[in-house]
Amino acid sequence: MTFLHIAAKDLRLLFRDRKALLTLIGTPILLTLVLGTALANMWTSETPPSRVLWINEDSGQLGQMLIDDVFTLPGIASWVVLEEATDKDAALDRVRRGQATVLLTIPEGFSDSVAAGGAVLNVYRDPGSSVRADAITQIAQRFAMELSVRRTVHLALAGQGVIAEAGQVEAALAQIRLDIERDSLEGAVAGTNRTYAPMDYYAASMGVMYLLFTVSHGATTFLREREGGTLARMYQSPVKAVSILGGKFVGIYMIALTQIVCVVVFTSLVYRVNWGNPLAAAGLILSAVAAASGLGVMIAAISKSAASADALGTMIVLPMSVLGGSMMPLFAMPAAVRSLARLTINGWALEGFTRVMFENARLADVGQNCLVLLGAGLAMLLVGGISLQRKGVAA
Amino acid sequence: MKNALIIALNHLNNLRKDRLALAFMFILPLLLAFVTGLAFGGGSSSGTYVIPVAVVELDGGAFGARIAAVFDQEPFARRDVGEEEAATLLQERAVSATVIVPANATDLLQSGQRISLSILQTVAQEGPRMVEQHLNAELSRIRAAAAAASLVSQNGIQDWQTSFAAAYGVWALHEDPVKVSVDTLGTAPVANHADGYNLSSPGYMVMFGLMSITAAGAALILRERESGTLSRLLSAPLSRGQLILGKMLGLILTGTVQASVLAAASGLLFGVSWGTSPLTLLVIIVAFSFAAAGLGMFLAALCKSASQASAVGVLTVLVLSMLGGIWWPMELMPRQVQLISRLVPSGWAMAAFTDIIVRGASLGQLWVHTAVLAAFGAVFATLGVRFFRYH
Repeated sequence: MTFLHIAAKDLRLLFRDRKALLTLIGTPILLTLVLGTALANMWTSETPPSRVLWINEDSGQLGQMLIDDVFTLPGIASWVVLEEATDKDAALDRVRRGQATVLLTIPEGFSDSVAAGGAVLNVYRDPGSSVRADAITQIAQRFAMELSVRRTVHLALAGQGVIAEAGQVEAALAQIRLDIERDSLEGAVAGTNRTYAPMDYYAASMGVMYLLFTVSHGATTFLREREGGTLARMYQSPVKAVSILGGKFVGIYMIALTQIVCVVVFTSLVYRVNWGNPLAAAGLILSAVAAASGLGVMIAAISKSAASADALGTMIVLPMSVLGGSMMPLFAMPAAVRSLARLTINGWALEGFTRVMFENARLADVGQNCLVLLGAGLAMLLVGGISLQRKGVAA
Repeated sequence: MKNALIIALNHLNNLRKDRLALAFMFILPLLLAFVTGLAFGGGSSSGTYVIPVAVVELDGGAFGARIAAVFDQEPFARRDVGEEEAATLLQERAVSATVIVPANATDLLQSGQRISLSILQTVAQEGPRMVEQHLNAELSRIRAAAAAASLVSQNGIQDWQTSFAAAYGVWALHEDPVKVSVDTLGTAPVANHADGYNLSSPGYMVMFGLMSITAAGAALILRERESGTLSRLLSAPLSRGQLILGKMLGLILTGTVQASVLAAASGLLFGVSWGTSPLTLLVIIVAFSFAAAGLGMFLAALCKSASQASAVGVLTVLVLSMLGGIWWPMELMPRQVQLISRLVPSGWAMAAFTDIIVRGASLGQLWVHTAVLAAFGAVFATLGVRFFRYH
């Protein structure tokens, strides 16, 4: 059981290094809070207030209707600040500098041209805004569509030889009720409709990302021992290479496990994160930690020095985190990127965690994720072992 | 000054030999900018972006046919399926959304009863904004045709079906009579939007600039202290001031070279236009590099060892990147977060770079950004030098 001693020693060393411990456990917890609250907006369609400058040169009713009636609707007024502009060039300049999101101009004779054809509303957008400017553009487009609908009804009636008053048209339109309902598959299938909470997602994603940072840190300490000659001394004592490697693996595993368990306990108690079915979550945690530890041992084995292990670790962990959905939720990514996520530890772990957290998945449902993670961990441990064997542990 | 320059150039020269570091500085940020650029809609304008949508058409009439036809247009790809298959496709994330047209919808429309289309997704999918937009537009067209048809059929001139088809045909004849002309302002010949590569390229430039200047820089200085290089340099006729100046210059040079190469590469590869004035861009790059170098010096003073500096450095960079709005469009953040982003150099640098890219901002418009970045650099460098232990 020599390797257990080696593992225990690593754990003791870590617990003595308070600063490292605090960083490893504190940062993911802090970042979960920051991301969970900061990005809450991105998960709903709410955006902070946008300034809309407007110039109305139309003498008819329709232009005024857009400003007075449409932009003041409760669902719109809450995030739009309207401001009348007098000088078009000055207004354009403000939009160009990002001081307003959009300049809306309603040209002279707009109301008349709705009936005659060729009516145009102008929207000038701030180049620095995409989502907010989109939202305002859409309001103008919806308004234009409503006007188009009326004109089309009149044209269609005229074409079919019917003369109708505007009031009749409005009544006919009001009778047609078409709407769109949004539903979640889970709500329809399981009868439970758990909202997708950003705090929960980021607890899982930060947990996994820092797991990877921890193991690459573990790899560095391994090499520092080699540089310090500790390993050479161990190797001279009657300890087998397998024991050293196994000990390192178990040591890194225990450290990483301690870390993620702290994150899970803290986030569920303080942030009220729901980690879902305990058995499924535990299965994912244990296998994700195994995959991460395998990565740690592999990095340690193939690096020449502590400094290069450090660099290699960051080089592997960062892209994995971006591709695997730790920075941005995977579902926001195009399909090609989502398939790249299948190459990362984060991707497999996070996909599993989201299913457990939001889709009521049980252990069997995420069994594939667990197996892939375990397999990857084992494979990397083997690669590390072979590489270490070739070089000689103490080299 | 000459001594400081030699030290600075030596720093660059050392880097040239380190292939891993070079990959880290240049290849990785471009790769990540490419992937995230796609996620932020970088591919949407090029027409390669396809949204697969499953349609469960239970109606079989004119209404259902119109709704299904919506998803024959770009950027959608339609799959006609039954309800069960739709659920499987959603679970496998093979489609972005499923649209369900209820049974007898055409009859309901004719008799003036409510019709609810449903858009079905899993909870872990991005909102179907595009799907909803196109559906809404189509529903408006149908509503117009149905209103006309009901008035015509009430008069007994034609039956509902024929009248509906004729009225719907008016849309094709006159298109949407009221148009919205949309113009994105900017100084570049082609309008630059703050999305896709225009966000991801400066984002990773700032993040990896911080990585190689602040995190790697601090670790490098401490490694030289550990190996005794600093002590040896100081025993040569070289003042501490010259030594630190040299180190800082080396870091600033590294950052400037890195950012310039990344800007040029993202211009070539992703078509990001970095404004009209190379001088403006260079000034912001140097100011940012100075801020990052100051931070690196400060980090070197705080940390005991090189390994600690690199661990703490990476975490610092990640936190600064997040607060600075490197990964998400700042416009979506709540006001408090937007304020916080102005407390970190990464936020100022990001704001300056995006202003250059999307607004073609000139140096005159960015002097505040430049000054703030320089101030960050000066304050942190001073603190760092004050507390740094040379031995």
